[in-house]
This record gives sequence, C-alpha cells and structure tokens, in this order.
Amino acid sequence: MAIPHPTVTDDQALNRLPKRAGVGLKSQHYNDILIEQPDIGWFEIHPENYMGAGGPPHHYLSKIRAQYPISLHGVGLSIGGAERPSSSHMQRLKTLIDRYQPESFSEHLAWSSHEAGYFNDLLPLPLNEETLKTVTDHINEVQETLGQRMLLENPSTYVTFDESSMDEVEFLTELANQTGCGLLLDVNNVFVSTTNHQRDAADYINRFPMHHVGEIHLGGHAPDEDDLGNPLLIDAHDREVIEDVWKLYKQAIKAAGPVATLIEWDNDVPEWSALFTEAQRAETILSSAKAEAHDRVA
Amino acid sequence: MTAWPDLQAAVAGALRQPEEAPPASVSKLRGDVTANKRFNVYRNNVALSLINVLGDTYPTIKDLTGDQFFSTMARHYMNEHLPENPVMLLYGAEFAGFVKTYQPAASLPYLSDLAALEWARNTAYHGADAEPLAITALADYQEKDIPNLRFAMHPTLSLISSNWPVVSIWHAHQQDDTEAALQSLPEEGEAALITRPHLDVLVHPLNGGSFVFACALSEGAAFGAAVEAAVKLDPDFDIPANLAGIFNVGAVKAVSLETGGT
Repeated sequence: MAIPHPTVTDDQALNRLPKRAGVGLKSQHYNDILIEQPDIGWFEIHPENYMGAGGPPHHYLSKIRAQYPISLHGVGLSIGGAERPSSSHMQRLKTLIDRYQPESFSEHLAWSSHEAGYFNDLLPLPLNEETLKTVTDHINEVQETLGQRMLLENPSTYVTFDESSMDEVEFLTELANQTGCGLLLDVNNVFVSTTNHQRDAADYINRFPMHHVGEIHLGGHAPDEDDLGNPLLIDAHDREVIEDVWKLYKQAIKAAGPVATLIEWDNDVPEWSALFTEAQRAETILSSAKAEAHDRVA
Repeated sequence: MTAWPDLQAAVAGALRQPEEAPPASVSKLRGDVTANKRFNVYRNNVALSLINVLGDTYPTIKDLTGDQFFSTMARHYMNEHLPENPVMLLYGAEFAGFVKTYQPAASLPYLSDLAALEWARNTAYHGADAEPLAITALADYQEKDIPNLRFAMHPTLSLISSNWPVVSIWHAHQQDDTEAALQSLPEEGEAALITRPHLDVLVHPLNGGSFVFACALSEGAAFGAAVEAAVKLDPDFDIPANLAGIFNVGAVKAVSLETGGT
C-alpha cells in the first residue's frame, strides 16, 4: 500500500532555498566570499566535509551561514544500498542540521557503503520493485530521523543491470509519491546518463515530475569512450557546464518554473570570479523565468 | 535474477578486485562484450578519490615520495583499510603504521614518524575548539599548591617523538627551497608538540626534557611529578621556562588542584 504523501501545494514545502542560483562552497573561496560578500542566492556544502569536531571548516561555515542560505547535500548515506542507512551517520547529519539549520537537505539515489566499508563514490543500483521498496523504507527512515523532508538526486550512471525493470523517471516519481520526499534534478546527470545509455535527454526532462523538484544541479563532465567505442561521459565536476546541458536546463525551467539552481565545480576548482560568472548565467535564466511567471499572473 | 543484497555484495567485491570481470548482470554491451571500461569508471573513482583524500592529509609524505610512489602506496593502504565511515576528514588514521611495514618504503625509515606528525596536524586541524588558558590563571593558586596542580590539555594537542629529525624534515618541505633546507638536518631524533589554539595548527619542536614534561602533564601527572620526570632525563631542565612555554603555545585548557585520592 502506498503511504499517502503530504499535499504539496507549492514547492516551498520541499525546501526553503531561494529560487536563485547558488554554488558549491569550496574552502579555496572562503576568504573571497567573506571579503566580497557576493550577491549570490545560496551555498551548498557536503556535510561530510564538516563532520570534524571543530577547526577552520566550522569557523568559516558559521560566518558564511550567518549571511547566506545553505543547503546540505550529503554523499555518504548510501540510501540505495540493501542495508539500512547507518544510524551513526544519520546522527552526524542531525548534529549538523541542528547546528546550521540549513534551508535544504538532499542526498543521492546511489549507494556508497557495504560490509567492507565506505567506497567514497556514488555507486549504481538496479531499479525494480525490490529496490523501490528498499529505497522507500530508507528515505522514510532518514526523513523521520532528521525530522524533515529531503530531496533525492538522480545519479550519473555508467552501467546498467539486467535486474532493472523500471525506468529512472518512473522510479523517482514513485519514490517521491510514496515518501513525500522532493526530487533534485541534476540536469548534467541527465545528460551524462542518457548519453551513456543511449537514451533521449530531452524526453527524460519532459517526463520528469517537475512538481516534485525542489532544486536543480548543473555541472561539468568529462568525455570518454566505452569498450565498444561508444561515448561514455564521466560526471567529473571539473569544468564549465556545456551548451547542451544549458539547453536542457532552459527546457527544465520552462517546465518547472524558477527553481533553486546549483553550479557544482568540485575538482580543478577555478577562481571565485569564474565560478560566480557561471552562477550568473543560471541567475539570468532564472530571472527571465520569474519575469515570465509574473507576466502570466499579471 | 539476483536479489539486491547479493548483487550489491558482488558489485562491492568486484570493485575491490581490479583483475576480475564485473558481475555478469552488469552492463552486457553487445553479445559477449563485457563493460569493463564502464565498470572501471567506478573502480577509478573509488581509488582516485581515496588516494586524493590521503594526499590531502599527508601532503609532505606525497611531496617527499613523489606522486607515483605515493599513489601506489596509498592504493595498497586503501586495499587494506577501506574507510569505515563517510567522514573523509579523518580517513588515514592507520597510515603511519602501514607505512612502517610497507616494503618499498623501507629505505625511508623516518617516513612512518613523518606520517604520524602529519596525522597529528590533521587531528589538530579538525579537533574540538577551545580557548587556551593563560598562565595568569596560576595567580589563583598559592605557591605551595603549584606542584599539585593537574593540567587539562587542549583538545587539539598531540605529542610526537622520533629517532629521526622528522620535525626538521617536515619543516624543510614547507620551505620554498626544500632541497637547501634538507642540507642542514640535525643528526639526532626530534620531538614536537602539535596544537591548534586558534585557527592555525602549530608545530613546536621540543627537546627531550620538555617532551617528557609535556607527556607527563597530558597523561594526568601533577605538575611536580611532571617536573621530576623531566629533571630525571635532563638535569638542566628549566622549570620556569617550560611552565611558561606550555602555556604560551596554547597547550593548556584548564588547571585544577589535585584533591587527594590517587
């Protein structure tokens, strides 16, 4: 039986992030941000990078958090694993959430831990009735423990499983319906995964349940080839967003209306000014979407 | 069709066995072509990300051994010690012990102690914040009570000692001209006190007496007993200078009077 999900009258209920562009907070930029106080919507952090007891990470995050909205975007909960998410890791997250009161918490449709330990990567799972039940239970437990709604992100994938019997959009829609969680639409991941598995990216965006989307991610990827010489894109977060992904983003915003949007750039981190410029591009697209929405109402 | 717990176990196993083919149900491409390259994206992500984590925590070991040597060593470490949890800030706790037994590094006998120094810096960086106590706090006590004082040390404090001049080696690698700095290494071993009183991690070299003194205090000995231990090793141990020193580096969090018992 499907659990009735809370009625979402507007996406404020999915998270409290402003519908503006944000960027991933990198330690290289702490001082630039505190000195320049840039006009940017929000910052995202990986909570795992702030799980030490004290020190400079907390010092700078406290100062930045005092001036900007923040989002906690976890990478370590292993929600897609067969095992329940670790209760000690959920407690670490709860401690950070209590301390920093973020406007949003999100995680990935992926796994990263197994009996052997933690793999420090977002690993793939088959999508079928069995894993839908597993992931539903895990999200319910996480939301209950953290005392808030979470967003779940569509992953970049490089392999498929014979065990899969559901389409990713269908799987995520079911998860959102059954748990009341919101979705984080990573448009770069859509481009990477659909290219890797020879699907149509525009069709994926078309079918995505936009009323569940509380945040959008944009990032750069690295091109490679698979064993047969087919394109294989790697979600590297080490460069600019490509034009094809910007095009998909415009398509998504057209369908969803303005949504909090993140530029992810985690490796080969550029100067603050370059990252800020990239975020401005998303901000411009969001602004015109807001103007259009306003015109429609007026 | 394999159930997810079994399939996940097979994938987790294959991630750790680079020579093996991925599990049969993963990404058959065309006919019997297996998606080794595709599966290897995950293997590479796991290995490279953990090697990078270790390189960030042990920058001097990486600088000293070179990228290639360090990557291979880190890969072996990772195979033996997969992280126990997602807190990568504190991954690599057993690296110094591992380096000691890592055969290709046997010609660098100081490497393990240097790794211990870097680990101490890492734990100080991420350790709990606390305001260091100023030496003026001692004015609250009568002189006769000073020997019975016990010191609660700063939560970021570590004490390390080595038969090798690891503090000088570490210091040389922080200089622009590392090669020049390495020309004038002391002959004997070295010790250091590592702490983070405020934002910056500090590495203070200690002589033998000062090291014994700081160790005794941090193990809970009363001030008088710590001085005795230091004087036993170093008859010239300078009591006022060392007392001032331990406060000045920000290594003390609180003092209290021994209330009998042990």
